[in-house]
Amino acid sequence: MTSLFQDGMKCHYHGYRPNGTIYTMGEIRLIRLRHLWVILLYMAVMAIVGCRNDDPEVVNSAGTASQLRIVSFSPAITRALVDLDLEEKIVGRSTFCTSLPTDIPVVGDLLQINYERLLELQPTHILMQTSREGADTRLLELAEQKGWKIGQWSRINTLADIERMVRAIPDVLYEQESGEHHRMSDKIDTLWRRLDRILHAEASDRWQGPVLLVHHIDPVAVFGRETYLSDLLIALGASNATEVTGWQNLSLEDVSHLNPPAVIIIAETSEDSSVDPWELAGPLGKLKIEAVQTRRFAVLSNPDAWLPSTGVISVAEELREILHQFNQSTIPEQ
Amino acid sequence: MRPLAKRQFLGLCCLVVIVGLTVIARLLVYRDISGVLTWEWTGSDAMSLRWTAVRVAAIAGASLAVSGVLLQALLRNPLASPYILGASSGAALAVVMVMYLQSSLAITWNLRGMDTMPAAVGAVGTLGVVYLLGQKRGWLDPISLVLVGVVVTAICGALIMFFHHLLPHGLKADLVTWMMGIIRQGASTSELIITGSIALIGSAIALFFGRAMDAATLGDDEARSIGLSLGPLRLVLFVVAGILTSAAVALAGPIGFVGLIAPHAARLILGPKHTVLVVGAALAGIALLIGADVASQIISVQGGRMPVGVFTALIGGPAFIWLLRSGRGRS
Repeated sequence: MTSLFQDGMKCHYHGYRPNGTIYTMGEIRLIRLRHLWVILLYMAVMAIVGCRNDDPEVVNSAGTASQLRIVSFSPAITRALVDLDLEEKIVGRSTFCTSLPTDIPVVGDLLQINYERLLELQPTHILMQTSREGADTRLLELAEQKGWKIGQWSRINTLADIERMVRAIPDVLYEQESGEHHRMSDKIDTLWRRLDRILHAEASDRWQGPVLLVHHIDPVAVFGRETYLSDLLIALGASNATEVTGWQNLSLEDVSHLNPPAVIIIAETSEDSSVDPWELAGPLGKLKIEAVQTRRFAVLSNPDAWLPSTGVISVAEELREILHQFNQSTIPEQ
Repeated sequence: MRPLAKRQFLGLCCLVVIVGLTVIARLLVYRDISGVLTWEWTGSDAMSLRWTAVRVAAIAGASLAVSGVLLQALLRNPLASPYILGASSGAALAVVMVMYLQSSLAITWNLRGMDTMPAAVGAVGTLGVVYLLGQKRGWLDPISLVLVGVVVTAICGALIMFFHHLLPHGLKADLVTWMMGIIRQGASTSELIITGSIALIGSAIALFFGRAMDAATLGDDEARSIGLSLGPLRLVLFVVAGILTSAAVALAGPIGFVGLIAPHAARLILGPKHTVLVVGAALAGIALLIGADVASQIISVQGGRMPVGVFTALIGGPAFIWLLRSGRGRS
């Protein structure tokens, strides 16, 4: 108590009343008790706020549909989950998962994971597309500690990669031979049958020659072989006009040498299919190539064309329509 | 002919020959996408595209090099480059903003706005800001200019990252390609005429102020003692350098190291006199950029084309370190 009086000379609650007279010991005890109550009350409020239980039941690895809490770090995987009616089970997403409502929290991306938010979300499953090095070591450690199940795919470039990724989703999310697993597999079968019907329909009325798939004009950037759009093209009976693999930059001179008989520009920003391909083509439309002379020039304005996922089904439909239009084009008389 | 003049004459002849060789190499070389390299004179269509590439590289190379000479004189710093004043980051910011607006408003226009206009507006706008903030008592102050340029570049860099973060996947790759610098074969005639005229007029103004730049590099007191008014000179150099950089960035993207290395290479061959240096640096810039474009034609990476900025950085980086270590970069 003496210390209170010694270092509290200027503070009225440390021993002096505002008028300068000294508190009695009883009054000091009362004041301290009041302070204690305030502190306890504050702690109680904070504890209630902190412990408010709006988290769902946490389960380890494979669970039932109602218990699933999925975090997806890949827009392609997210898109597949949405098409498999699992949108409501997604509790966290990457910055690039635009096929989800914006109120679903962003948990970073493959390179920059927001671990704090991830812990808050308490997922049961984390799905991701990884680099060659695999998933982040810290994430793997956390997953092991918390019992999260991680589904990872190292490469989703081709149509076969997409199918492999989608068909593996039930294995990651559900117990083998469970009802949910069967139901999900059936849904996937239905999706792929739909794609097969589009790809393997009667091909005689479609263009079956080479097509250059362009996604930027100068420098010309193309979807080369071993990409999902190239695979779709080949499955539809046409072929890729370039021999390069993956996503590559070419010069206008390369295109001039290739002399593709047909060109499809993959536009990303617009859903307006009425956009004029010649306006988009710019200098590409001025080259003396067969595609320009025969006017086999089209724009594919489908945002799904940029995502190696289940959205390729709608892209396949549009591609088929474009190839059908190309078949009507003929070389004009000089 | 005095020994120095003779050296300059020979040096200029040497640079002209190098430019000629690089132009010939660029017109002849072609590697097809299967990797086969050919050196031959081809049909008119392919040749027209190669000529366009040569002209783009020449205009951008000369503009950046002359701009480098002006800024090194203006800032009295041999390590100054055209991008120190924020022109390239301003241009990149404008391009990424236009790309973002196009993607968010779902506008398809000239394939994601890789147009020269946003880049030019961004570069000029940033230089305007640097000009306003880089003044001291109504005149441009070299130290303030550098500091403001660095800060504005950093702010633009942060905003570029912000908009880059918001861009859809496909556009991110396009932006990165543009930021590495590209020699476009599809540049329109009007783009070439406008930027070419800017390069010519800018170089002519730089030549006109050659002797004044010689005096300005001596120091403020020395310059004033011979009757040179530094304030108006700095303003002219800043404006001309800024416009030249903007034109180059608008035409070919922010290609690094040309504006830094070309003036030093020319200074090494021709000496420090600015009248000759401007011409020499322009020739060195042209040779460097066309040479880098030839390298991008020859070196094959998975059948695709590497951006020319990769090669200017690969050539310019080590050259810059050599200049720095050997002390030859000091004017």
